[in-house]
Amino acid sequence: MTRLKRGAAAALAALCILPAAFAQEKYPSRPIELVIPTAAGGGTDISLRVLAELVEPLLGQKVVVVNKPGGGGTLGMAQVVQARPDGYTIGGLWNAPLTMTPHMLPAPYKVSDYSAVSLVTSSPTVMCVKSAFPAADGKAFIEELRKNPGKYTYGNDGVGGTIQLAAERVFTKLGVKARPIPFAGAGETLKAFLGGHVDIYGGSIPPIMPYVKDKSARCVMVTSAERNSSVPDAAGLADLGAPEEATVLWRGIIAPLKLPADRLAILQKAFASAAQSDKFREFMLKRGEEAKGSSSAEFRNLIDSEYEAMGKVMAAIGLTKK
Amino acid sequence: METLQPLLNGFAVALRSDVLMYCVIGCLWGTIVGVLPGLGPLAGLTLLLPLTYQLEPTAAIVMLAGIFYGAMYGGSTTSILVRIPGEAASIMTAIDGHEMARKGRAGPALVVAAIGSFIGGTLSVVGLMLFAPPLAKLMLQVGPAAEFGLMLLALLVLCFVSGGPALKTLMMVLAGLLIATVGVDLITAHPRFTFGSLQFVNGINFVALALGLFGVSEILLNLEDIARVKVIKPALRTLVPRMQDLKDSAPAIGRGTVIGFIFGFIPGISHVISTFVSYAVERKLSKAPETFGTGRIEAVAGPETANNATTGSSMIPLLVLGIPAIPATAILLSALQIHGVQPGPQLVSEHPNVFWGLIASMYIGNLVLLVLNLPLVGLFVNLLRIPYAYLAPTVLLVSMIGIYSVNSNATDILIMAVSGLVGYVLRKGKFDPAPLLLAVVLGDRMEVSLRRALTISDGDWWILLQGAMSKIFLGAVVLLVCLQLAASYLGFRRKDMKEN
Amino acid sequence: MPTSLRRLEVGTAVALVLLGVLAAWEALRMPQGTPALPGPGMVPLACGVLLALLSAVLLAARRTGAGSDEPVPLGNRHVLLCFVVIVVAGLLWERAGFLVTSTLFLFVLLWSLSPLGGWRSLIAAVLGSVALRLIFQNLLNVALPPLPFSL
Repeated sequence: MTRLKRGAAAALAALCILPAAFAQEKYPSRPIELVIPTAAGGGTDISLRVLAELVEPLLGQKVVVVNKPGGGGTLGMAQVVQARPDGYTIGGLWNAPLTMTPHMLPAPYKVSDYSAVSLVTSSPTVMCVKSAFPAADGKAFIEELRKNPGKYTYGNDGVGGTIQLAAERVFTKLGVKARPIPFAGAGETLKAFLGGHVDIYGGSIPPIMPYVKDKSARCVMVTSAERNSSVPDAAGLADLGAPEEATVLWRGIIAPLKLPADRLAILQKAFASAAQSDKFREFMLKRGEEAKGSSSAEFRNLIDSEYEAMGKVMAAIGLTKK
Repeated sequence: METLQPLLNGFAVALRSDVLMYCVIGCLWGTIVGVLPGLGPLAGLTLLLPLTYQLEPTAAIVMLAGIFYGAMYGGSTTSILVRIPGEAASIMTAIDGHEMARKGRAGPALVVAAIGSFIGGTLSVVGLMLFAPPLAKLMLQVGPAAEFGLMLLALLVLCFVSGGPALKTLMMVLAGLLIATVGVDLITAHPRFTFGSLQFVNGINFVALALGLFGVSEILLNLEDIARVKVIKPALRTLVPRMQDLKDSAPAIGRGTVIGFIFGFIPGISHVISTFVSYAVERKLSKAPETFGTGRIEAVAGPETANNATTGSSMIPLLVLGIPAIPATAILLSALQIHGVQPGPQLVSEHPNVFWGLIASMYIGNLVLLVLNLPLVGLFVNLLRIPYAYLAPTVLLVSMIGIYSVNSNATDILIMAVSGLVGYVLRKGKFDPAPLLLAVVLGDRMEVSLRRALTISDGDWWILLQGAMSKIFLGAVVLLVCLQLAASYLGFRRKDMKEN
Repeated sequence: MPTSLRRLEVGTAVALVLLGVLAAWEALRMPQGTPALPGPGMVPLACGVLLALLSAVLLAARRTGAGSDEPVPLGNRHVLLCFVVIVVAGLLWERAGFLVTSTLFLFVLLWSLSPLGGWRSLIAAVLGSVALRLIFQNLLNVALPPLPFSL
């Protein structure tokens, strides 16, 4: 990066915060720590690291990624919630530590303990079956499950994880039942599915794509309301008559609760425009995900409604705190 | 000879100056993270992953793969020199390797470890190249039920690892299995032994436990009488293995290669399991099993070969099926996906440069590592010249940094301290901590695979005998138990006759 | 602290009996599931009970006389100091930052173990800490906790 570019970026950043800049010190004036509550190398980590790089020129400061795994994401999340609300410690995470795990584990924060900055990516969960499965499309798939409650098994990436809960939310609504088999990650799920140890693959889209291409697997439904362009044959929840029960795997940026509104606005603007940049959009498309870049309020609404819905689903399947 | 042409093309790719450079960087970096205690291949991969976003996919995967197998070379160094496992796959190396170092034979131990690593690593790439598709099919048949059989087999072998009395070994195994249950249950999400804290929700950090039980306990033992710790001044003559050393280690290297390649198929923990199976096999086959633990070169050669031989076979599921079997290959998968390359059945046809370039680079990389590591032996051995009063604090601090860097969690340092003290007391009381540690590795997966299998069958235990793979593994378990019983029965008889 | 192998074995066995019993007790409060579908409590319960039983067997054997009375020295000033220093460093690590913690750690150990005097130990500790931080943070890209108050 040339000095000129950096200067221009800094000037741009300064312009954005002009109204507040008179009253307070210029923000950000030193590197910002982005806490990611999962081990390095996972989907959330990679997406957000790429995003962090794109945000740097917009903020005119370095964004340092710190991985803090443990406690199903609650340890890192707690670190963000308890950090000084000066905008130099923020968090980047996926749904579970915000809307799911707190129902299950004694997380030291409530849903109202942090501010939402921006929703940056989203990707639907997909349910796929082997080509020999006696159902060709989404409607037939649900019918088959309805006829045989509890007969079929679906692999997912962990008990109480996004995929299981997204599936259970739909199944509960439609009144069908399949048995969840928890695995440690999409890789193990795929292996068990290909080896015929479970009937249904539940997971993200990229790992299953090679098998959709060679026609050994068929995706029958996605957990978003609309269909997805990578798997056009899979029914969306609107097709199945339950669009309001959509749960997707998303990633977003949060900050401590008492962060001043002007700093929140700076962060939101920077992260949202980085997420909407062509470079990020293209990168996420390759990973089968959609780049977003929402407003703070939109993200807040999503968290609140999902938190409530997940509470109900998890209570229904007996996953609440013990 | 249909594999030859694409392989040659692969070499053309791998020998391109930029790809070759990234291969060497990866190998070098892998050796460094392998040598540094606490930092393993996983940490090494994640630290360098962001740098690969800018590279083209072949260079990226070649470099990252280099870190992965390079770490297996480096791991033996601190194990042998100061009995601190450089990474989890070098735990077994620490036992006899360090005894050799104490006898002034650190040089031969390190050289044999490097040679074994080279042979195991290279042959496993041959296996990967020739048999990948059929082996991948076989691997798919190992579902949760068969995995349980395999784990049971490994647990049985584990009991042969220790030379101590059976009762004490069993106590250590049970304590290890108990430690393995700490954390949220993976089947029902019920927290176990977490006492309302979030710290142990993901279980007890294994690397911290291993560093404590093996490394810190060793330092505490040495600190008892710091004047007694001899400074070893190795002469050049003692660096090179004798003919007899090579003769002794050759069969162990051969067996280690096979064991490593086969156990590379175990998801998650292949590199650790392969080393202790190799150690147990060497001990069982030896004419003098009681001398294991006093510095036998076979006990270094076997495990060090085995952990490198897993690298080839654990790449198979990634490349052929797009399934990462161990955490390290999960990161390789991410790296490929970032560049829009989705491994799976179409990888070879869609991205031949990536696939064959990687294979060729693994041949080159193993050679690079051998060339890199042999001269380093002379350098590393000189670390032993440093008086213990300076060496011990430095090694401890480096371990603390390493362990912290994995999870950015200072609790892991405390776990290391406490398990160090526990390991110290256990070793004083002649309890071998190795079975405990290995039981922690196994226990987790064993319980989960059993209960996963039962969830799939909805409570029907016969699932454990369904499928060819399950039958093979359980058959081996029964066979081993019978052999052991027969051996001990005959052994008693022979003793009785002698006494009469 | 001088002790004997027998006493150490007895002590360890007692500790393991306690560990087994406590684990089994705690496991009893977890869902046990059914024999067909074991719950989360089953394995810890079984391991706890077995561990307690086997340790009791060893305990009984050592009480009745089998075993060796070989004297074993257990711990001394240096061992205790080293353990305490690691624990303290672990507690300070994130609170005081890496440089402070590691300087303290190296200083105490060097001062008590090595023939260097107080001043030279301190200098060595500071230099060592700075060097390690440079190597790990700048060369190897490892994130170490910074000094407090964002200094």
